[in-house]
Amino acid sequence: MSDPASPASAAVAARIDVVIRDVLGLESAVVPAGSRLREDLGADSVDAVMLVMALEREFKGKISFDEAAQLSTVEEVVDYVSLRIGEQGLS
Amino acid sequence: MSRRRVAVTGIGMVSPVGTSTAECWDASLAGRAAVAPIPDQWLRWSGFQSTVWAPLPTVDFEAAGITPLEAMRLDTSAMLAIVAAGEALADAGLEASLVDAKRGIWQLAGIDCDRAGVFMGTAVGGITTLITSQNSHLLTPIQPLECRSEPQATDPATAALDTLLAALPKRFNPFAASMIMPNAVSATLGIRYSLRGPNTTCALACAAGTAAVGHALRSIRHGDTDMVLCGGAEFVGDPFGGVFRAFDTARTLASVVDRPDAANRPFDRNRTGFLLAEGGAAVLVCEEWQHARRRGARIYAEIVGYGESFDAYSMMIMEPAGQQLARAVGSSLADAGIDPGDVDYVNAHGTGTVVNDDVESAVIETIFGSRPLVNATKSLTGHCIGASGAIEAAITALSLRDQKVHGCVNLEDPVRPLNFVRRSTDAGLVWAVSQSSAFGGHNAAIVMRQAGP
Repeated sequence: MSDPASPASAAVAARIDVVIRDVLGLESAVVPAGSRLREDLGADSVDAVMLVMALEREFKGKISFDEAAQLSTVEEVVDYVSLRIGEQGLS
Repeated sequence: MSRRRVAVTGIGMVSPVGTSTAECWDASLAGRAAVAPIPDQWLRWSGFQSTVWAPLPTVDFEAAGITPLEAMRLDTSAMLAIVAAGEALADAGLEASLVDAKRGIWQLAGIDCDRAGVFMGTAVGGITTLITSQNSHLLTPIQPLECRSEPQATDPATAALDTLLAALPKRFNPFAASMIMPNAVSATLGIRYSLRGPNTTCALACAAGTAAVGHALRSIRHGDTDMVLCGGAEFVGDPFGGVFRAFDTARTLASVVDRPDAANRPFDRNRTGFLLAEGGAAVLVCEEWQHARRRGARIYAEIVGYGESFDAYSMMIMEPAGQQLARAVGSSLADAGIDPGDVDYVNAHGTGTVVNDDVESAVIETIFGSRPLVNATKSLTGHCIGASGAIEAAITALSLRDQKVHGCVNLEDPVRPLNFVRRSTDAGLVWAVSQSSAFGGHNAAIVMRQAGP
């Protein structure tokens, strides 16, 4: 898991929060990190595809649909993207 | 029981001569036609017979309310339809409020969604998405092709491949299937504005827009709907000119004889073909007359007649005697309950092809004689294919409202002695006809009347 206290991680989390709220049409303030994408936030299969495309657009790189399908909470998305930054071309 | 009447209460338009109704209408009256050389990079793939087309001006889709996320899952033809529909609804005074941000769904105030429909024409729907997806599919094999960021190749074939690879989208679009289908144009508008009545795409090639307006008339008149968005949308600006080539190789496009800006010349004896437009869209808000009156809507014109027919002759050549085009026009007049001599203005199909203008002008002469004013909007916009009939219906409604008709650009030596409009002019117009013909053999004509009581 990434360190949520680190400034880099907090910045990634903030960007992902905007992307998730944009894709799912959520008006609320920050989405809690523990929120489940499907059960709590109402994401359907089309939203899952849209989320990958929106994350790719935000972080300027390619994200695997298969890997993304394993992510079920906001926190897991943040961890996944944080890990990929630097490693595999996301920025 | 008297027939239900149909009012045009809103117009939205995007074409090579403007990105709004006002821009398009002003350009039309000023005779500002669109024409430009085809993109240089197309010449890498073919030596074209025609070297000009009518590109669209830059359209600000985000300003029209299409979010970047929505743009990822919409073909440009559908986005053009949204731009025109949004303008038309605002013009009609129908307020839309967002009810589902995730899906981009809006609701129109004061409209019964179950009694509101969509009739949109398009010839090829999401063809540019199909082309881009196919390029992406073929050029990204599992073992990647090499793409040099700084092409060093001197041989043209490798350089062409580099160009293709550099232009590829980052991934094969997972929404491609829903973007390619022609009915995406009408479905996009139905979803966006919560319109749950009949939702139909008229795929009648170059007559699609006119047919869509005609079927909207029938739907309202029949009592199925009280309000309809109708028109057409098209986008054929694929990055490598493949669609252009399809028309070019069939020898249907305008050649540059002397000046590029003189290539597009409908109804002129020196015409050589039509000027392909990159795309366009027009949407008309049509309402049952009392529905429009009750809410105090401003009415541009009344749609009073529709006729259609089919040549059953050739996929690409009009039936030379024009009998079926004449029958479609005759049916529209009968539907409107008027005589040919009543018609003040004919907005012709007027493509600029040798055959169309020959046959169509003969049909106009036979039916109407030389009294009504005749013009061809394609002399300004080029040929917007499935959107052209809708753009011309919009121009006809504007002509009836403003009592003005635009000129036929580049018409110097008319093919027949009709009452062609050379330069825009004021005119006393009560009844007008807009007619279209299409590859396949479809003919369609609508009749409009100046808005009255």
